[in-house]
Amino acid sequence: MAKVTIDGNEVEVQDGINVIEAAKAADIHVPHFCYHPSLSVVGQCRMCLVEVEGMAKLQAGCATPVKDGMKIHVWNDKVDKARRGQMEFLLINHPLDCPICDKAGECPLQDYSFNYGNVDSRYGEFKRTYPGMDRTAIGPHVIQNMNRCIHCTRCIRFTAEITGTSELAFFKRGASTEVGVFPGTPLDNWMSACVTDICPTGALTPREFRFESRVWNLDVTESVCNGCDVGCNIFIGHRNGQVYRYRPRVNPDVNDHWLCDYGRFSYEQYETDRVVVPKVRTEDDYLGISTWDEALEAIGRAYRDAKNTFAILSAQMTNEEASAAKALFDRIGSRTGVMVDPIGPIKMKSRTEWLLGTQAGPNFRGVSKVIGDGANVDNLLTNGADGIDVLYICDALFSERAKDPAVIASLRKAKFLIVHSWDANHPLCDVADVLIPGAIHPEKEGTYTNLQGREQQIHQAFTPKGQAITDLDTFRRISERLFELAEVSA
Amino acid sequence: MADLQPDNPYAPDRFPDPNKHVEFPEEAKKRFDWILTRYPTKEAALLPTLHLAQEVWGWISPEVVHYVGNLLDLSPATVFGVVSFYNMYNQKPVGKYHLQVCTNLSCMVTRAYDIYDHLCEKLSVHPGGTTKDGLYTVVEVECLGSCGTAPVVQVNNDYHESMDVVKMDALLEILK
Repeated sequence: MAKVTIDGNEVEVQDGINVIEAAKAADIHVPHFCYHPSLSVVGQCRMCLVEVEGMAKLQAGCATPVKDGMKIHVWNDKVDKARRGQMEFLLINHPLDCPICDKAGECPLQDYSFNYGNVDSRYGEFKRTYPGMDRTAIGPHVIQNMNRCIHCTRCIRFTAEITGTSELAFFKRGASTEVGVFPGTPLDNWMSACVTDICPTGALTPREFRFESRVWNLDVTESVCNGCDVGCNIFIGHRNGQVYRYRPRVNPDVNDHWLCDYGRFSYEQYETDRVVVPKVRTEDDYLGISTWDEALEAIGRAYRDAKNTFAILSAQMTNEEASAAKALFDRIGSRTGVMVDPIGPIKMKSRTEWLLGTQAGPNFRGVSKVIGDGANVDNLLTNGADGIDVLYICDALFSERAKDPAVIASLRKAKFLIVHSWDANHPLCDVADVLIPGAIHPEKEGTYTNLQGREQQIHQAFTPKGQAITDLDTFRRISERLFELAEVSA
Repeated sequence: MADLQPDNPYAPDRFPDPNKHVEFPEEAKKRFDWILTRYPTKEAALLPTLHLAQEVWGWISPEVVHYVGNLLDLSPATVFGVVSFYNMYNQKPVGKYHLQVCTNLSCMVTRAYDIYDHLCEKLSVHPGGTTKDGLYTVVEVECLGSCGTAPVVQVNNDYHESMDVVKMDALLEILK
């Protein structure tokens, strides 16, 4: 351990870490562009210059390891002057088109230019531009505007060190240096959109989020991605009940700073018709809109005389929902089972190891732990639900196989079919006897158990659409209807 | 659009042609294997391999970038980054005689531009262009490091020192 003094605060930090990380321990921010905790150190931007007592010149904070007894000044006049000078250089060629830039609001260059930039430039010449390179699609998800680039090489180091694909490189040299992909090999890897997060300017922006919303107009909710069982930590950017983007949330043990493209853009599945009211099949075989009361009444009637009942839980459920479902169906005397689709494998790099996501649901492990020795769902899908009086499907999307007409037919063999679904276009919705509107993942509160056995919390970003309620509430309502009301009337 | 931005790396003509098969001839393959033995890592052998490729094909085409990348386990972007960094890797086809006129300070004050303009006019090429018969390419280069004998014209790998317009004409006669 090394005792260092940073701006008069004495902190004890690990030996050999750099000044930027040591300053974090003292809660002091060192401005920087090219340094990234998960990438190699290049010392390219010169923004993190700090004064170390006893050293003649200012030192780059990212490339200076701390030693015992070091006295470091991050915020004094000398450092400030150097930073202003550096900022002036960086802004010589930057177009400063923040009003039309998607990065504005979360852009380090914008923040530091606000802190250190001059109001007017002393530079009389024309700015260097890259004609024809201001909206280059360098990959399926990434749009590049070379004019905004400050050549920090974060994106190049990301493709070289994290994904190992090296699609990006510096071309040419000197003032005409440009970041680019070689024609014919686009930036198309499974984590390509991460370069838009680590880009400290608006040079790289994700195509899906371009011009969708100003970032300061978005509400931000901490959550966990539900794409696979790795359970990457995310921020949900949303407004008025619409998800605009997912953004990785730093967790060194799970996803570090990264998020795969599959997970990042998985919110696009919610841009579809939602089931917003319960539906009940009437006597003349018409699946009509109903009130919650009618739907619960129909469920109650179905369970009253049922002997052989079955409930398919879903890997999309939170642990709390699974517990509630397990309690309910145990009380009814129903068998429960859960299954999950194989996926990928999706690779995700934590700070120390590679994680492999192999399941399409975020919480298969949690749900199977709750229900213990579950019944075999696979058998049900292939051989048909013959002889089952009531089949309760807790999430129409419990498996991709549920979209297969043959599987739907075999599920439909149950005498009574209850389905939760948020996707109105799901084919299971049309065959259900009772259709319950379900909540999507940003509308839920609870925990997911990921492949490391780590229980991670998700938070509700907005309330469920229409008359939809979370599964937790649904199970409570059904439980009330089946047992409490029955006791009262008895 | 493409002709307005001749240096745009994303111009359609810069895409590698998948139908074009590129491979070192046997003799060059032997030299490539020898080059590999001289360096601790494959990546370190990139510069000499590119020189070898330029010797074989005269210029580094997009297909060659892919080929060299495959040989050395490097991505095409990394290889092209190196190719575009160094001036002496030709990114366009050049003529049989690559006339490189130094126009840096010492050569310029000794009237290198007279030679350069004369060459362009006589061979009727644009600066940096190649003659229609594919014999000559005229380019302007930075300092060749032979200021004592300025002006200097480099033809392929040979220096021709203390040049003037008359000597240049005589040289062209020989080169024909």
